[in-house]
Amino acid sequence: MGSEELLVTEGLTKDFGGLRAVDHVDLTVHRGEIHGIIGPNGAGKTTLFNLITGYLRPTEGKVTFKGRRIDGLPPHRIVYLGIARTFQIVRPFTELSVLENVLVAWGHRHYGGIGPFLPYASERRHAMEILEEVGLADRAHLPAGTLPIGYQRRLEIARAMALEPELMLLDEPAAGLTEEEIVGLKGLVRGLVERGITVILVEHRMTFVMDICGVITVLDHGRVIAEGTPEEVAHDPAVIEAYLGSADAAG
Amino acid sequence: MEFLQQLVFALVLGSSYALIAIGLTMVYGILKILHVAHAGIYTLGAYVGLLVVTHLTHNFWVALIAGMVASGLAGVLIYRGVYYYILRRSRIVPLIVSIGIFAAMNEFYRLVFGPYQHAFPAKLAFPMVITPYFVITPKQLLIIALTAVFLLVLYFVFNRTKVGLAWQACSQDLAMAGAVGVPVDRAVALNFLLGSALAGAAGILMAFYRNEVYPTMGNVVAYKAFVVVVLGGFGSIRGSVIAGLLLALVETFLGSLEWFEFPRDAIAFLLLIFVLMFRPKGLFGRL
Repeated sequence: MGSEELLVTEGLTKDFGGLRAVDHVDLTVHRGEIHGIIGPNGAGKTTLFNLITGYLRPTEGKVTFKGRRIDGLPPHRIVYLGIARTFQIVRPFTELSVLENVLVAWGHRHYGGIGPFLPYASERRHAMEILEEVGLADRAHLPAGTLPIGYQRRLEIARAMALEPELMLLDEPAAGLTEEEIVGLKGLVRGLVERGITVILVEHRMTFVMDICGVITVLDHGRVIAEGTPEEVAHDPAVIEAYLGSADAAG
Repeated sequence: MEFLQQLVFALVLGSSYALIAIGLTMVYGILKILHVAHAGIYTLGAYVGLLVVTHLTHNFWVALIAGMVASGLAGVLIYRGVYYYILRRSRIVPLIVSIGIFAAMNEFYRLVFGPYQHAFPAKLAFPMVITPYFVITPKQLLIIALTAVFLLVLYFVFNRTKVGLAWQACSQDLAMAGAVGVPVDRAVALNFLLGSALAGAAGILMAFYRNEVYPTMGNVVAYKAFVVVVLGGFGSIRGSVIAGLLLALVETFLGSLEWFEFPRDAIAFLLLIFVLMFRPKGLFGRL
């Protein structure tokens, strides 16, 4: 596990009207780790992601990436700085092919000058390499909308990889996947780390999180209630109470 | 043969419809804005062309390039100066603003160039096609050939280049396009640049063909282009091209029938009603 602090949030807070969705969250993510964020429904996990990736502006607090403040920047600037994300609900460009979906993302650094009017060339090879890595190479030319959900999730990750991020935020990557698909997903996420990408993931599937994450932060009602290794977190009384207390809501 | 000659007329008219409708459909496809001022851009192209041929040179190509560049830049200006700030409002807001811009542009042309028609004295050496069955005049050949070239270029840009792919991504999911790093703003500006340049080209071609330029020349074009875009299915470029040709065909052939007393410019709506009865989303629409 690396020790450089890649992403740091300090006192990060977001109010929606009277509701405090994220409440003074201090989060430190080190380079090279897989950092899980868990918590009952409505704990503020996705809001936290939206704050980090520029989709929401924090009410208070700051976000620092590689020592540089990024809160308040628009999403695409944050992408350029090296943070990519996937969404809870998969949204491929359904009418583009799988390969084109990745190409669009790969194209992001080629829009200067007359670049936009040049045809894709070497980019196709890069995009195919990514598709091979996520196991979609043989479906590269299908319309993305025709892929089953498990493959669409892989495509989301492939698209995020094409942005060549240093940090990738995965929002419930295992949602809706079969046990078999989850095994594949684990390999995929570990592959990201081998590529040098640091991963933060929000997830409800506990076995998946416990298995793959080195560090877990637990949120409840917008606050950090525990942080540590999977074993530490699983035996933390506050965590047990948060989950048992909302067992009805969480199903 | 009368039929083939009519077909030539239809092809010329359809080319102009297609060139204008393409820009409209590109804008609608991405921003979901009804860009009425697009027809003002068409007129702008014609006037810039007119300025060139009356003050600089009679060379048609110079006029065409100048008009396309000016139109393209004017389109970007309308996006960056106006639409950009009202994109998140209800869709009716940009629509009304767009109608306002269109009316203002027409008044501007009237004030600056006068309310009357100008001739368009450009010169062009282009071949004439004469067969036993039909004749294609140099101007007609120019319009058909140039439109074909523009369509080919457009096809290439859309399907083979980065910006083309970015446009397709933007029109399917604008927010997600931003999330995967497409500089949406730039992509949309380029979209306006290209679409508006094509509208400007259509304006010059029609000014040259009919040898007239006047402030309200975009009015009929404005609503016909909308009919074409709706007919083709909102946002479908292929649909707009085919619908443009179809409308021109129907107008030309119905208009040539002696017993057909209906105003020619109203045929567009007859066709629209007829097609929407059977295909509510237009010919190639998915909405």
